[in-house]
Amino acid sequence: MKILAVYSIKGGVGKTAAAVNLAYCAAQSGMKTLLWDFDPQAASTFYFRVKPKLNKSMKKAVKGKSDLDAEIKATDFDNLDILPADFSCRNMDLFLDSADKPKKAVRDMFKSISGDYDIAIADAPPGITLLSEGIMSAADVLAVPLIPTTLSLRTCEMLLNFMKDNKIKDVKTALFFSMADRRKKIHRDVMDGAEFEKAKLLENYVPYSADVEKMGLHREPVGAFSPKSKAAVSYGGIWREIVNIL
Amino acid sequence: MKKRIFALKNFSLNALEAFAGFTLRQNITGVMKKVELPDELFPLRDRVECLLRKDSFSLINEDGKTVCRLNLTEIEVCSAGSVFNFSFAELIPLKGYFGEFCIVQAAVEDQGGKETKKLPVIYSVRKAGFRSDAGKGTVEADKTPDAPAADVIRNILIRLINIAEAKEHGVLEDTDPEFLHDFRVALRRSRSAFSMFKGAFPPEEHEYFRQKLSHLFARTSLARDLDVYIKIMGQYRAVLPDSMQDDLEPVEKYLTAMKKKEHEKIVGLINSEEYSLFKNEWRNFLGRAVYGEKGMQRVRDAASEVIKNAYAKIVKDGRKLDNSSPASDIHKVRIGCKKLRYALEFFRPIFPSKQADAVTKKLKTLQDSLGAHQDYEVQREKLLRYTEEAAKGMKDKVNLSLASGYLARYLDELKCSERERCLEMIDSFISDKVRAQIKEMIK
Repeated sequence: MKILAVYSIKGGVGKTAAAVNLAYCAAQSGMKTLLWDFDPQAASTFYFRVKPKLNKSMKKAVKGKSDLDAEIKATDFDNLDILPADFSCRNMDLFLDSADKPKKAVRDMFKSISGDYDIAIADAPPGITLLSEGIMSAADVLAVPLIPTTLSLRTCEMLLNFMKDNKIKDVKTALFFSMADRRKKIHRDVMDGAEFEKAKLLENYVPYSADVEKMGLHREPVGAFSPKSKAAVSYGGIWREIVNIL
Repeated sequence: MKKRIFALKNFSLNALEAFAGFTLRQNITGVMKKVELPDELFPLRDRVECLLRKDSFSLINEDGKTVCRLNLTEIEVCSAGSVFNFSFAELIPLKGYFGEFCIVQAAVEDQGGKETKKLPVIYSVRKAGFRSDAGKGTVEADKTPDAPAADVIRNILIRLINIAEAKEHGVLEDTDPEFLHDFRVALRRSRSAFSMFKGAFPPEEHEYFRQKLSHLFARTSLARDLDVYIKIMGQYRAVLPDSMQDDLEPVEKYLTAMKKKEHEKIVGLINSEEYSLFKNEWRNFLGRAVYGEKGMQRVRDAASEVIKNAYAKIVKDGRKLDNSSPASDIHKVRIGCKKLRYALEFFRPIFPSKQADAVTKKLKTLQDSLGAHQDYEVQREKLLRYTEEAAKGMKDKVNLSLASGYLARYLDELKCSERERCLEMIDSFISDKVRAQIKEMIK
């Protein structure tokens, strides 16, 4: 099972929208896909109309004592299941802190999923935490959405340096612009001038789109309610690039 | 958690919604169209036609989330101007929504839905009163455990010769290879039933008719082999690489020519005075109340002994097997299984059905595997033999030999993988558990 983590230090950059839509693209391509919502805000869970859990199972999961398989729910789409967010995720760092080897504990949580999934997509919460560090270490590919602004690029450099300093080497990093509005000069300048030495910048980007915002109304991926929209096509393009990296 | 199928009567979607508390959303609206009958209903295809329509629904909870899927199937079974209607609900569970699935299931059962393990088409055709096995070779003894064994066997044998006779016309016409197959199955069952109860009939007559039946059966074997092989050639083509697909044509032509000759021989046999005389003698014999030393034994006791001995033979032959055993030794077990299977089928009504069905089910699975193993073994040998025959007189035999060699290796691989499975299943069948089941059945 491959692991794709969608992560950003900053919040509000379209991370959850990307995780949900990439999971949808993966499932549509025929891969048996598990979307794991690590974010206590439970937005991915909400988008699939699934109820978040309130049973504090993450504490047990960190100790390897929780049956995570039993928590998995089918979505309304073929090949796509979700491990809903748990409110106890907010305390994940406390749980991980008390574990002997926090990074290994996160890796073991992924390994304990026994379903025949081809790929697990983690919707990681923002911020640099023990959980996000564990997810980065466990992942095969780290997909990082970036809003095309100077501040966003600076945060991205911070992330790449953090990974280098903490010797997180086995993960391939794929950056892509998100919420991009090429009518704005600042977005155009940043997108055209961006260069990264330590990570791959994908050619496709997610445009600023009302369709992405409407996901909250439809409570499903863009591809399901507006398959020909620019946003849906963009996620498809990003997914194809990520598959090549995987 | 697997999907479940329920046969319905007077089903209402509104009542389902009200009971379960979920909203129904229709995803697909089907149209009534003709469907092919599955293989096990094959003999009915000239008499029965099936039309089917499937509508698909989702059951949605208060969050708008699908918690269970539902397919509604309507089937019309048509025959000679009569139409029989059936409907089914197929419930498909979704991971993580077991509770909701149970509620929907309860709602279907509340309306009288009855779960069935059969496919809806098979269920409908059977419920409409059509039995495909009526035209096949299966015959069961009447439920008379205390009747003399010879009388019960005689009755079975008369019904089997009736079946064989009913297939003669189809064998002569040769419109479908299944006629010859069914004809042979009736003969083989007759030979098997007759041989199993050696002591039930006078020894001289028993030996005379046993040989006659064997001889008759053997004379139809080559034609059946050719039928099977001609059918398999299509599958072989699919296995070969594109560039080799036409290279086996000489073998196909050879088989078709051979089949024609063999069919002529069978026509000659069925129209012969010899065959007609045999049937008269056989019917005459079966019509007389003659008994061997064990002829008056209670049929339940006699059948118990036969089943016990047949199983003991399988255990004996099965225990000798290991990874290096020749295919002929595995074939011995297969023959033993056939005998046991016939005995179980003939006498099913006089034993407790629970144990009899459990043993038969296990035996059936084992037989499938043994059959596949033997088929690969035989097919490989015959392929090489037929190739040699077909190549006679050909100038350029290289392509034919290459294609044949390619397939022979393929069949060898299949045989090896099936062999392992076979040995495991034989081990399981000769286990204490099955022995205990048989003991319990015949006690």
